[in-house]
Amino acid sequence: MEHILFYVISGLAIISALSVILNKNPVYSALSLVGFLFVQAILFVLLKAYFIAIVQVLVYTGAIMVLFVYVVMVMKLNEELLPRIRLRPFSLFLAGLFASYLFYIFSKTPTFSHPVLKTGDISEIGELLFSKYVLPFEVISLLLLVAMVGAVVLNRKSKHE
Amino acid sequence: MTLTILLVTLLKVLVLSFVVINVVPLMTWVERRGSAFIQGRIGPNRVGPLGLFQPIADGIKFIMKEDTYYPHVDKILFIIAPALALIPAILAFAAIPFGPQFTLWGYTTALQIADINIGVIYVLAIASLSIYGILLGGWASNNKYSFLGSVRSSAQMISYEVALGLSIVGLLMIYETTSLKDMVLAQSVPLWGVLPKWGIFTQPVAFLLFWICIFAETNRLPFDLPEGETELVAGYHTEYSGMKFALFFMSEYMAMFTGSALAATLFLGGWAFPPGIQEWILNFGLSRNLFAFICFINFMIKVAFFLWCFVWVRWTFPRFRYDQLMKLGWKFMIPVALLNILATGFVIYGA
Repeated sequence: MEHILFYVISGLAIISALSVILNKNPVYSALSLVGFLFVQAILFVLLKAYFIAIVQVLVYTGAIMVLFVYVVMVMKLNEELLPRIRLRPFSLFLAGLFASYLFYIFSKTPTFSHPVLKTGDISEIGELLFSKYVLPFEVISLLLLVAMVGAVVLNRKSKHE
Repeated sequence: MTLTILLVTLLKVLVLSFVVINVVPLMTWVERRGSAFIQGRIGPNRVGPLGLFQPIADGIKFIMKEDTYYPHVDKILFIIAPALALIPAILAFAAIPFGPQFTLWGYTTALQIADINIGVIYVLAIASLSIYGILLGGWASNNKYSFLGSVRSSAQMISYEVALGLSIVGLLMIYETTSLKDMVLAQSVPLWGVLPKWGIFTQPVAFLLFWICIFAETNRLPFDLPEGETELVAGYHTEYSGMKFALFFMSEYMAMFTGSALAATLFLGGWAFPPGIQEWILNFGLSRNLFAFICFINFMIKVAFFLWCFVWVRWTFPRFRYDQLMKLGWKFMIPVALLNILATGFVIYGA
């Protein structure tokens, strides 16, 4: 049962991911990305990482992608305005580099048989975040703070205007 | 045995969805009679006793109406947008506890579709998805008024979602759980001997913030700028007619019900009676199923109170200006929510 679900969901994920890059209308592309992130959340549920799944829905599909779709809609991008996509050797090289890096990460990650979380409970995640992974956690919060300050500074009106 | 579990779960889904969906026509009636009551009018009173069958007449009207499409709309998104608005509103109920455990065909289960241990976050996450319906509806209509309405709506909902999420953190700190069922159980003990340990007594500031945010999230007056009639014709659903318009309408009322149910569960002790009264009721020697039903009624009364507040506020306050709305959200609600978390932390640390 779980295996059938996994294949159906992964199939959906691949279809929606492909439709992100193949769709000509940018709004449909952004919406496919929303669909992809939602399907990915279901994959997290299959891995029994319920908290991660819900946070994925809350943060990505519920907040970040809304802004994405919003910006794409406001920009009024027409198909004629978008550049034709051609495959250049350089872009192929970059894509290959990225793919091999992803493959490297994939070969390093623990498989289904030994997940890091035992129950997927929220308290377990909290404990891990504040003990074993406290340094990466703090570094990421610093990074987010820098991004936030940057956004505020960029949008501040200068006094000369 | 598995068949019984499946059957009981299916029955729970059917019965609770039936209850939830039927709140919508009832609420439209309450809204119209309530507004008439507040404004000193009579309101709809011709169809059925007290005009109670008015929603049915409205429903028939919506279905019989011509379904119009305009040549300038994006047809696919125009059709799926109303459904996208309604589906998350219905899905959010899966985690809300309507009552305690009952026994059916030898199988004991709670009056709640799914007891997820992160129920609070689940409801917030699913409810935040309903924004897509509004956003896409406005964009697909390809009309400046509709689009402006959906742009306003998305900015408003994202701003107030932050304060909504932050206002709940204090509750999570006090009751030390994210499961809605455990939240109800944690609130059914006494506080200082007299009061029940309800969220509204332990976190009054959080309640105020939460309640204001729910108004913004459901696009209700005084925050109904996405459909401000005086500026935007009808906002994001200007181009919609018939049943497709009705779906948007239903999703607004469903969102109101979700907000009220969540408020009742988090701040008014959910289905549980205040301590003392529960023992008093159990003294009558009621069967377990009857007690579960009484608790369900208790929960619905609390929800009905909040739903009435929605109507009451709508016909009492004027609409905000958009910059005032944003200022209130970012410069007042979020700082106060953060301070509330800090204060709660100090109190818990001191106790």
